[in-house]
Amino acid sequence: MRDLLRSEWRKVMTTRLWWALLLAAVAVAALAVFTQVSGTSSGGPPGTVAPDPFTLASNQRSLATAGAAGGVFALAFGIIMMTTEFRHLTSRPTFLVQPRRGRVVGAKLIVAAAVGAAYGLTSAVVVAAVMAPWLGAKGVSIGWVSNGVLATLARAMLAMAIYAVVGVGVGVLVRNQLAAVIGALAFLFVIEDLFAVIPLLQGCFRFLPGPAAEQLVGSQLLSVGGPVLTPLQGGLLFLGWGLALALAGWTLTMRRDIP
Amino acid sequence: MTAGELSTPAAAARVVVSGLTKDFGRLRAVDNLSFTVEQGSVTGFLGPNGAGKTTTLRMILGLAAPTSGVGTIGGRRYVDLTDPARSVGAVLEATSFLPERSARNHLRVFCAAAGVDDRRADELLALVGLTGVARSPVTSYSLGMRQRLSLATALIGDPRVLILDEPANGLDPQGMAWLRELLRQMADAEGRAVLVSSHVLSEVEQIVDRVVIIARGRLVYDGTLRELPGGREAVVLRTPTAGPARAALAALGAEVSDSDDASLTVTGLPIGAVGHACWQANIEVHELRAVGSTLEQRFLALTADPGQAVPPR
Repeated sequence: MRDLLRSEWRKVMTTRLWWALLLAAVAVAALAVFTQVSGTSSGGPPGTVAPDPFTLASNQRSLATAGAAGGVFALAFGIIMMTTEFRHLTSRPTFLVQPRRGRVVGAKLIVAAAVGAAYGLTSAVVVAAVMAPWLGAKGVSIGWVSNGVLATLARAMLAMAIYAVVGVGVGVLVRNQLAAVIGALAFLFVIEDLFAVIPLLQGCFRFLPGPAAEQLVGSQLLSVGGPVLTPLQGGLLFLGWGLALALAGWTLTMRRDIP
Repeated sequence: MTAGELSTPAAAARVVVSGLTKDFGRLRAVDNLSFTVEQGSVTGFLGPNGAGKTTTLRMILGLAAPTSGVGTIGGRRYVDLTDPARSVGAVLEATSFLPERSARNHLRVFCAAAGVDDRRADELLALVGLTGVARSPVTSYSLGMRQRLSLATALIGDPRVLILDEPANGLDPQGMAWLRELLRQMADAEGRAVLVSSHVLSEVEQIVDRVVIIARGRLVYDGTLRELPGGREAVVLRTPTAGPARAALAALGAEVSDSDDASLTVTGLPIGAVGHACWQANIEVHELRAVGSTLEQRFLALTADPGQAVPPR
């Protein structure tokens, strides 16, 4: 397994994909903090001096959830990492050197989680670097520990790692790269939103992968349809989605012939 | 694993295909195919395009699952090999690369997976003559260079068995000569078992010890090229007195045709009988030699005719 992990790590590091998607993920995280801070008005009735909304612990945590705003890029990383094998037929040397296909997928899941975590760490640092001076300039002090800001950033980092794991799972299930990426985006941005607005389906909404990730991080949900899951429950559910997709993919397609 | 498998090196390098069959929906791509590739020999795996060669090789290599039958290397299925990279190296197609990755990085990726020292990547680049372009992306390589890189990938684990699918595609004549020499050396000096497929007999006829010929998924011939059936032995006779020679040979029941002014092509008589007939008829002979029908003709005859393609059951 160590050999496979080294091999998969090299595959990642010898292409441009990882840093292109990292840049995108970090840019989106920074943008998310920026729009949230600049878009929140101080809210008090005219003539009164209301306290800045970001003195509230919940609003500080809400800013920190931006650490997972680039989750879709970690997801895309996982999908492309898996499907590129079939697209460029490197699946052949890969599965010739290691014919036990489950081990190859296992190594990819682990490396994807590490890369996703690195995306999350970088995003967290950038989010903190935007938050700290900006709120400081408003005279708001950030309760990094007391308000749970660091904990939220850490959970966002975990969410990024799991996004990449889910991506590998999608890629195992859907070998066609374009179909896998488009399908995943459609699910996240269209199908999940349908669950949120159709009353009959609202009860399931919080168990879908995207909402599971948001409940792990602690973001506000669009629609709840039941009690909000704890971060631990959300995290386990999200990871479960990734592993279930990989397992489904393995049973359905990895036993098929390798192209 | 049995002790017997490990104690005989020959068994470790023997490829045994037995009853291999593959259906794609209603199409039977490979039909009950059996043959053996021995250590220290080069076996040509021949057949027209679409005969089932690639599918057979993919089944041996565990990339495709047989509908029935089994292919083994040293007595084991590919998926059960403890160290596949050291047992088998395969060249399937010159396209299994990420375009932006360099040859050196490509080899290092698979050196890592095979648990082989990274220095092997540089050794192999030198062996296949890609050292100069080792750090350029594969997208800038010619087809011949990609074939060389495929071969280098196959050799990462210094395998006992080499399986090559149409390795001649994209190689120029110099590259082809280089490949022939390399494969011959691998079988002769290094005792490896080499299985090389081609749809063009002339590409491999100089290096193969044996050929396995298939058509429409079925075995049509397994043996040496010399014994390839369907050949009519012919004798070329050069003589200044073609007329009397023709008459003398025709009297013995031979078919005689003119090759050019001074020589006749005789079929239906062995070379000794032709020479004896000339001697008896007091005919001056300048040249007497046996020629076979070309291998290519025999190969085409074997693989083209559906009647002949079906082996007796």
